Amino acid sequence: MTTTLFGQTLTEATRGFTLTRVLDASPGDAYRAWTDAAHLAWFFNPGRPVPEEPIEVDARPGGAFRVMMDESEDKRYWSGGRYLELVPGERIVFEWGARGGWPDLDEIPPERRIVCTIALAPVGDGSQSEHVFTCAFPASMSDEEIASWVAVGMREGWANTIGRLVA
Amino acid sequence: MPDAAASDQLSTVFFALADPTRRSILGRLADGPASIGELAAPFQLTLATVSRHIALLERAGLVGKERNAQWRTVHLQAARLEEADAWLAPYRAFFEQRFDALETQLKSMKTTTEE
Repeated sequence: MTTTLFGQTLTEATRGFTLTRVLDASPGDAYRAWTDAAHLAWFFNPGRPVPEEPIEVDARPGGAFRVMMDESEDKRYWSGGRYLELVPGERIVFEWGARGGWPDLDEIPPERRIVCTIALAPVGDGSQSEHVFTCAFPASMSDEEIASWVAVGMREGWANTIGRLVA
Repeated sequence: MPDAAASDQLSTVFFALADPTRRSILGRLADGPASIGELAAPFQLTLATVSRHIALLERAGLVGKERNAQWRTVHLQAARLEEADAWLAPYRAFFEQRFDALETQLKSMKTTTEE
């Protein structure tokens, strides 16, 4: 049973969130923007020079995408995701992170990875699409672990991101 | 940034929210206060079991109890839920910001295709 409270959906994935947008692009184009290295530049850190390291995409289950996150001259790391499921124009599921990056997929065992899901559906004549993004924290991860994990990430980088958003 | 004490409190909140019966009790309380009997009615559960769920929600600070002349009513305390929501905000912000950029990029892809 799904309950909505104060605009928040209380599901099993309450330790997580869903972002829904209607994009001015067909589901096919939206899917390409996620899975084609030539169209993934939107994942870069905004307001920073484009990193020299090219975006890498190996779009198949078990493959990964990697984007160099350039937050400052001192703070650069790979992020991205390891694909669990790919259905062109419809659905992308990946574990958030990169090998040797952040979150570090070499360090985090599979059952403790953050799983992101993108569900795409055509809107109207299909020139627009509904883009539903869900980010779910694993049930096996304690809140303390997630909180300390958040603290590490935020101290270095996301605090700036938030700062920019509220500035 | 979460500190240790806040994280302990949030643990209790997230644990309380992890159970579907407790989530649905909270959903019912969002419509207004209710007695334990009223809260138990939709479930195939004993009053004792529902009381245990409510005790857990109370420990998490998600609900409060009031004693009326005749029976106890339970009401929602939304502040804790808002804290839990705020805890997720940085993650949400990370992706919201990227999806803004995605929208801008998709517009330019469209323009390029149409040209």
